[in-house]
Amino acid sequence: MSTTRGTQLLGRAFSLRDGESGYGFVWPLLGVIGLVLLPFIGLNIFWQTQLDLMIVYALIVSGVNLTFGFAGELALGQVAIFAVSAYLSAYLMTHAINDVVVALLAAIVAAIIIGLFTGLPGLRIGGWALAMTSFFLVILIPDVVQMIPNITGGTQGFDAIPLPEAFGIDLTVSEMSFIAVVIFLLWFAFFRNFVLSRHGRALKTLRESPHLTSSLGISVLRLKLLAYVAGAVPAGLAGVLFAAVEGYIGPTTFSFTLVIGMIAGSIIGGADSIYGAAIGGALLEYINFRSAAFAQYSLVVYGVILVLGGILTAKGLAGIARGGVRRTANLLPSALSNESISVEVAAVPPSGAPSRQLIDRAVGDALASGDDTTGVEHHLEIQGVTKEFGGVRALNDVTLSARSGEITAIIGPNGSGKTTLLNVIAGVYRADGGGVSLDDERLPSRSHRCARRGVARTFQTPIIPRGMLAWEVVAAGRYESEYVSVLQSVLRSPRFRRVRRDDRKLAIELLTNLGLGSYAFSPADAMPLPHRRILEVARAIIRRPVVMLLDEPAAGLDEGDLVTLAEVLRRLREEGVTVVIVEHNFGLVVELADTIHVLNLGEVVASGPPTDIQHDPVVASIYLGNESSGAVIPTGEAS
Amino acid sequence: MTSPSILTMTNVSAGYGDVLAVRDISLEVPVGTASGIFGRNGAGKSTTMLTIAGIVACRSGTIVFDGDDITHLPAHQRVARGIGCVMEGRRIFRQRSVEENLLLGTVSRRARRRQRTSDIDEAYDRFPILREKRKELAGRLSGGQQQMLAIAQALMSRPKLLLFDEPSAGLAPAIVGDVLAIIDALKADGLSIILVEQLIDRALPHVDSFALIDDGRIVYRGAPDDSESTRMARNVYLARGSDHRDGPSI
Amino acid sequence: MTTLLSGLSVGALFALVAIGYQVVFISSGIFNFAQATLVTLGTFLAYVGVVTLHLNPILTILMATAGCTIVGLIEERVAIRPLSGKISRAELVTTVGAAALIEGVITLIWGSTPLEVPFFGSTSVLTIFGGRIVPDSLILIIFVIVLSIALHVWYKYSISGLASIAVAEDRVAARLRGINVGRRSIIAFAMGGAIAGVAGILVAPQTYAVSNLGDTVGLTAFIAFALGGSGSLLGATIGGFAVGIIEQEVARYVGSLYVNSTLYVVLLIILFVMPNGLFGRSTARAL
Repeated sequence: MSTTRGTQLLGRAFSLRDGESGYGFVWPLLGVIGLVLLPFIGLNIFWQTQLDLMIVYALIVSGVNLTFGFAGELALGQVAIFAVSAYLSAYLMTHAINDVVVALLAAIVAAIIIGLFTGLPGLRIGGWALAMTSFFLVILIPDVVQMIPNITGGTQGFDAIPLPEAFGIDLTVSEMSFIAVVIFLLWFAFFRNFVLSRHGRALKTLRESPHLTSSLGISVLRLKLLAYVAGAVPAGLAGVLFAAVEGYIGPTTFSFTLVIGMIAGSIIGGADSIYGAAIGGALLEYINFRSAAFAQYSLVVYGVILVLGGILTAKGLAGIARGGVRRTANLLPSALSNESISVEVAAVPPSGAPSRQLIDRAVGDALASGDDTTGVEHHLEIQGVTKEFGGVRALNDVTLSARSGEITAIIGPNGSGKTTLLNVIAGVYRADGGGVSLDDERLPSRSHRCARRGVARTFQTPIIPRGMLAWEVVAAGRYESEYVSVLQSVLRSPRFRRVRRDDRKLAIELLTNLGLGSYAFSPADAMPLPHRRILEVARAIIRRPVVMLLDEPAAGLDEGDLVTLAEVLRRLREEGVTVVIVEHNFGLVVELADTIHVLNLGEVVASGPPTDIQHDPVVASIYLGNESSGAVIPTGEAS
Repeated sequence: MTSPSILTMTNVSAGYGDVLAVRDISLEVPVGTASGIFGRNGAGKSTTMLTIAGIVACRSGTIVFDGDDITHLPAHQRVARGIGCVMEGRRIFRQRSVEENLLLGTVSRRARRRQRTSDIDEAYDRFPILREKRKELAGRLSGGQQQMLAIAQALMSRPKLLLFDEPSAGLAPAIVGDVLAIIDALKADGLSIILVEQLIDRALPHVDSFALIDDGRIVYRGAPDDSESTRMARNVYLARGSDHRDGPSI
Repeated sequence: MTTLLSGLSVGALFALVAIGYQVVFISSGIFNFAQATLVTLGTFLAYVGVVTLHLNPILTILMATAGCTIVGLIEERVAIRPLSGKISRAELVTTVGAAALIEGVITLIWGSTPLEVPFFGSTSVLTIFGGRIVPDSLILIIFVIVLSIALHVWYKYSISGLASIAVAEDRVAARLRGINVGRRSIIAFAMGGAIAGVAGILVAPQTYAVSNLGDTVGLTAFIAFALGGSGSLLGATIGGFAVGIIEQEVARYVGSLYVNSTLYVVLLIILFVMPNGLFGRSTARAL
């Protein structure tokens, strides 16, 4: 017992995966212990300063990683935030309270405010327009500095910033170094815990698709603001350290070159890595420190890194280093590198089509967890919905209803408005006329609010975020159930631990019962299409939906996968879910649906049970094009 | 005596990402004939057409056009060799005028401006409504007019083989009839045609032979006068497979 | 009036860069961050032609244009084509990288001190409509107007120009009409480079050849681009002149310290109030 326990503990300690997409902490921890000791093992002042500045840049780069690398937002205002915070603390240290703790607190507050401000355009625009807007802030720095010269020192800047005190005690260079290391440690612990939590998963989901994010009930607006603020804080901390360590700041300290270097630093360490930021920071400091001999090459170096890094990222080759580390980890005895969770998984058959009982269990367990809502009748009413796109009427006065415990299918030829209808129900589009109500209450026409009312969905092309393991993708569906705050996540509170355990357990059980147990720890975006589809279904099921919308779930599936899918849908029906499915596979629809609605040119042209629809002359004419007023069936018809 | 083929597909597979939407399809289009590719939504019809046009890469198999292997030729070179394409959903350049659209149709040919202009005039003679609307933005035309423009535009490259991808989609039945009549006329002019359609009953009289596709594979080949064909299609489309055949019939 | 004229002449530079953005954007859907850096390169090639080699103006223009075109083509080959048509965040990273690389090489060769590039023509100040302007600025303004009209006509009436617009509108449909979209992208980057080359020699007498010219100009020209609306050449031109005039008027009546912050506010207003700009299509992709 004790040996196994011991091995497990060891295994967990040495596991470089930490059960999530390959972010370990043990090796960085060892490095960090060395780092803490550095200021006290006789490093001379010069090297201590190098170390401090490396920390400064690592902090800035980690902010870029958070906003750009994880959340995929091009709000790159970190240099501006860095500048403001440096000026703020230089002012405090020379003119007011020369206390590093006060300066740090002030900088955090300032960073949050400016982070929100610089991110603001990101709520409206995206892509490079947002990037340009945040770059522009950097060229404002010298102007602003000179607008208020009595505070900023104008073009002269601050040239003799004293070493600060901490709680009234004067600090030596070594002690300041120690403080820098501590801040570095605290921030990276925060960063790691933040990213390796539901919030981190939500950020990666946002990076892939805001559309998907809001369909999981997550407010995209709030999540973006969270990403901007969290990415601003380290830049703020860096500003304080910089002012204290460097002793001089001026308007030219914060150049556009620094912006480029900051992005290069992020790319070279891996934009969506945690500890890669330290590598980026070291690079920036190395280039800056060699200023006389090397600075002239800095732009060339940055340029090469950005071009190569950008191409590798686009080709999905980034993270090679991380892959290498993982491979090294696999050389450790397998007992050491496996997580305890995989022991539970091992009890069920690895993969292949799951049995009916397993699917029953999957859906049943997932839906039953938590408060019991089964047995309550629900009904979804679509009342006279009309939707136009640029004068073209995609939906025209569509009225239909769906009930809990039934599968309602919507079929029709290409361009008949099926997906548009699904998007109106899910709150993605606002109907131009009519509306959708669930249990006589109007469904909101905002996707995330609609999702919170219990509407879950899948997409025509499965949206599976990059850089996540299969179980994480499924667990992302639980963001809104049993909400865990950022603070609780970062502090790893008991609630966080319980919810994390549940998230993982539920997701893995669900996947196992759906026949994907052996993939739970595989990168999800690399899974074959049928598995990605099942993954999407699982992500929707784990939300315990009242209404489940499926957009062509059978497309691209083969016989075996279809059986699984059909079982899942049947089981959802038995659990009292209102299932609405848009599908071309007539066979599947006929077999499964309780009611079929046929759309053509944006209108409902037929509704009824499958056998009626199968033999409905209007439907036949829509599908086959015979114009014989539908009533006459050619003699070739089987009878 | 079989006539020479304008297009020969041999065991072609193609698809997007990790999905094969077209599997092992072989098809032969004799010169001057119209071939139909029929099937329900998502059966792989459009992918087949885009593979012939060179938009979707051919994973395996060969495509021979007019005696030359074009399997790995880029799309624009296939147009230059004589494959024209009327895309699904009347995919014309909506922000351009009718005349600009027609001019863009000639882009694959080396020709003097005067030649292009006189070709556009010819197109106007065939489709007089387009002459009336020549300065109008293409997106402002009615559905039927847009379909005419799409056909006229495809003809501007002087194709030997014309691909039609679901010309009926989103059009009122009467206009579908007009479009099918145009296809007949083009065939009479000597063009070879591939007609991709879902509306098999409507399209059937206008083709010389057809292949029925389901799940990316050819499940049936036939000719319009083949009495089996309609029943086959019905079974495939409406899933009236063997287990339904003994059910109540109307 | 003098302020207005100097606004136009500064604006002409922004307009040139914004036109370069548009030309590349229309055919490839890519926002080429390095466009302004190519102008910087143009100014240095002008310096080499006029000061180092004592070439005559025609040869200098040819050399600068050829040099920038080649660098534009290299950028397309190295930083764009490997992305294989996947337009994403990666293209921002690689074009910023290309900008850094070009600027870095310029600094290595010519250093970071501004180099004076004399104008090849007369330097006597002209008086027009009661305002004073140097001849090189006047030529620059005229050049920008002529260029934007010429490009507009080219896009509207030539087969090649129409093909470029068609690619912007629908890539797949363009390929099915026989347009070689890969070549369109190459042509676009070559044109962007050529425009930058000519721009370089025309602006150098005013701006000098200075290695970090592209940073501020590139960002300011983006405002012109956003104001005009993506896809619109005339919009970029008008946007450029408008930004130039705002800059000079603010500098004169408020103070040069407030120029950039005013422009930033203008940018935010544009992006929030009319994200498609003055002439952009409602279907504009990137904004």
